[in-house]
Amino acid sequence: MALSTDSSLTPNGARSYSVDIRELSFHWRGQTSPVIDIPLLQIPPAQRVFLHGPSGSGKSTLLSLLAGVHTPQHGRIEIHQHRLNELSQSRRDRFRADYIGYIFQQFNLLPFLDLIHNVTLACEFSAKRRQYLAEHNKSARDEASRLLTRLSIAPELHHRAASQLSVGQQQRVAAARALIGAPALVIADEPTSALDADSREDFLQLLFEECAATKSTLVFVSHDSTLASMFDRSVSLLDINRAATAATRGVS
Amino acid sequence: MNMLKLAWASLLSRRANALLTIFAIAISVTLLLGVERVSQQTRTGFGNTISGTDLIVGARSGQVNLLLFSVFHIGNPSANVSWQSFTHWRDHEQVTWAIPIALGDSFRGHPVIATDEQFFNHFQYGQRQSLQFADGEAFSHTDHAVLGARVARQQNLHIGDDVIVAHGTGSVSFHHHDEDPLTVTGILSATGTPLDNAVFVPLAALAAMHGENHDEADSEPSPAHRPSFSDQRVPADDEPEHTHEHEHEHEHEQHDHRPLAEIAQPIDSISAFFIGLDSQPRAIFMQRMINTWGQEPLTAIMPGATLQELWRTLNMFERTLAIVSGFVLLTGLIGMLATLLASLQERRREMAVLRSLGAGPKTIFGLLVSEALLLTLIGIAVGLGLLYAAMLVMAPWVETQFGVVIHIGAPSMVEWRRMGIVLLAGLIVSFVPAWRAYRNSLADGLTIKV
Ligand SMILES: Nc1ncnc2c1ncn2[C@@H]1O[C@H](COP(=O)(O)OP(=O)(O)OP(=O)(O)O)[C@@H](O)[C@H]1O
Ligand SMILES: [Mg+2]
Repeated sequence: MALSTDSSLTPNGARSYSVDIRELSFHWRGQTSPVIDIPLLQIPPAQRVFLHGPSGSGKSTLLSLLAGVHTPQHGRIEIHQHRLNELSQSRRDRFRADYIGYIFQQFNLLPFLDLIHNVTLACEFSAKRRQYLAEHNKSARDEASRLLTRLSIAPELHHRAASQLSVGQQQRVAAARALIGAPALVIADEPTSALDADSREDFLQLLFEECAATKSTLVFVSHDSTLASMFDRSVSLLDINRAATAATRGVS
Repeated sequence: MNMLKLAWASLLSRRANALLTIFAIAISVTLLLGVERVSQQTRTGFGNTISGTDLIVGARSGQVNLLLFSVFHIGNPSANVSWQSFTHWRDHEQVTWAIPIALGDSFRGHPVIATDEQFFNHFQYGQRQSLQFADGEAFSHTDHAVLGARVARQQNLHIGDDVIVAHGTGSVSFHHHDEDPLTVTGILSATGTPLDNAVFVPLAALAAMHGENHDEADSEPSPAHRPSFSDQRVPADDEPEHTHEHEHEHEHEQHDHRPLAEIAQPIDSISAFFIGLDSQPRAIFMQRMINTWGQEPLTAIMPGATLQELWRTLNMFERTLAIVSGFVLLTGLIGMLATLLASLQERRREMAVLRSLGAGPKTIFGLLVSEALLLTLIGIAVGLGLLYAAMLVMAPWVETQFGVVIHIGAPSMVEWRRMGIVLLAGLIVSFVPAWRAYRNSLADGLTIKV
């Protein structure tokens, strides 16, 4: 079991993690056996984590726990000193808006908004992101435009409807939206699975650069093990999730 | 961008469905408000038409019918009242004034009221307003005529012009009394009542046109041979009435025009007469007396009371229409419900994206409610617009048809309340899809099986 022991030390010597999970267990409503049963998972700030595992091992479920969309039945889940399992639902929604940038596998964008508005939408729900932009003397639109351009979306496309883009372009817009306002944690659930090999690498490069610029932690789920080498660290759910191990054993 | 803007953008992307929903709501709103408008307008319009008249007397007939034909020129008198009966009641001690009217002819589609100068002296409308002459004066000769304000305007007639009265009330009259052109001596000021649309001629002129000849004949023509001016039927070309009309032609030609003052009995019979009493509270006794009079079967009505009766009939009609428009509204709202519910499935992705950005289930709920409210609000606005457009189009037509002037004013309290009810209904209906979306977004979280 490759439990994380990497840690970053704060100036006063205390350990601080971006993601700190202990004895976490979660089962879906109506089910008795948990799909997630993780004794320990700690991710230091700004680390790029490659999360993999067979289908059904609970990767997406874990991400939605990290995002505070679902709450675990047992255990502790702490993200940037916020104990998600102790927050009310509306507090978790606000937390997600402030701290988490989320990228789906596909269909990330609202087809009826243009690219700029799709990106700035993230700021609509988060006072913290707006505040961050204000502190850096940036308007949401300018920052959206800058990020889009950084992610190789030509400025003439910025006011197009999202539905007119290719899938690869859409994923980059989704990345811009996840990154705007410098959220502490960027979560991506198979964002490259709809892309060809070349654009996959391009996408990852751009995502890494922007995460580095904002010092965001990155948790990246993919089935494509060839990408693993580009990350700081690779985590298999089979290793950390006892529920997945049991399930897989049962199948094989 | 707030929820409303987001809802708006989302609606725009589904604008075909949205437009249909808006249209359905708009139509029901137009109907709901239109029913209210029409009844309100007819009430004030009709209520203003007559004032100060204590009784209206006609041949035995339905009360509403008598009111409608004598005051609004809608429908026909079923029979006539003899001149002798009229004079009997005119000379009654309780009666201050009496105005005889004989109806049934027309001038280019405008109803002709044969009457005497009492009409201009005593008839009142609105809040006891008397008739005013915009130009000229009342008729004083058998070949004179007075025009209502709109007749003069529409036909571009002035003092001194000739008018030729036709038999029957249709715009297309088959034979004219063109033997007897009348000269316009007066034009009334506008009243906003059916009088604006009328042409006033002396009773004697009408009698002459119809071949009555009182002053030369020493004996009364027997009623059986008297052609009735109130026979509204427009005869077909080949009907024998034509030849019958021609028999009178020579009489017309030798007819001379005389001052009205010299004529004792201008006509054999009239359609109805208006009565003003010394004491208004006595109207009810007078009414009974006339209704039970032995010499000729007559019906007397008090205009106010009969109007009330008319409103009662109208009320039922109005309520039925309101119920029908209520159902149209229900259909519109169910349409909106169906559209929103159907859109939810394809929008689960959209909801998941919003959730990932930090929108709570309550925000999702609010989004759906905003959409429904936007649809309803626009529907109401469009409906109101349609109503005003319809009124602008209809007002001139109603004015010419019924003489009732439509006032296109701001929505009334009742109308605002009805619009409020529609909005409230839209809000309540929106809770269904909003609740569905709320449940969905809780269950789906961020994982959507597309
Ligand atoms: N909304 C849900 N309700 C109930 N059970 C669910 C739900 N979503 C996922 N599951 C169950 O949880 C388990 C883990 O699913 P999850 O989606 O996390 O797997 P995954 O590792 O992301 O798989 P994949 O690689 O195919 O995306 C599966 O057995 C699945 O059936
Ligand atoms: Mg998954």
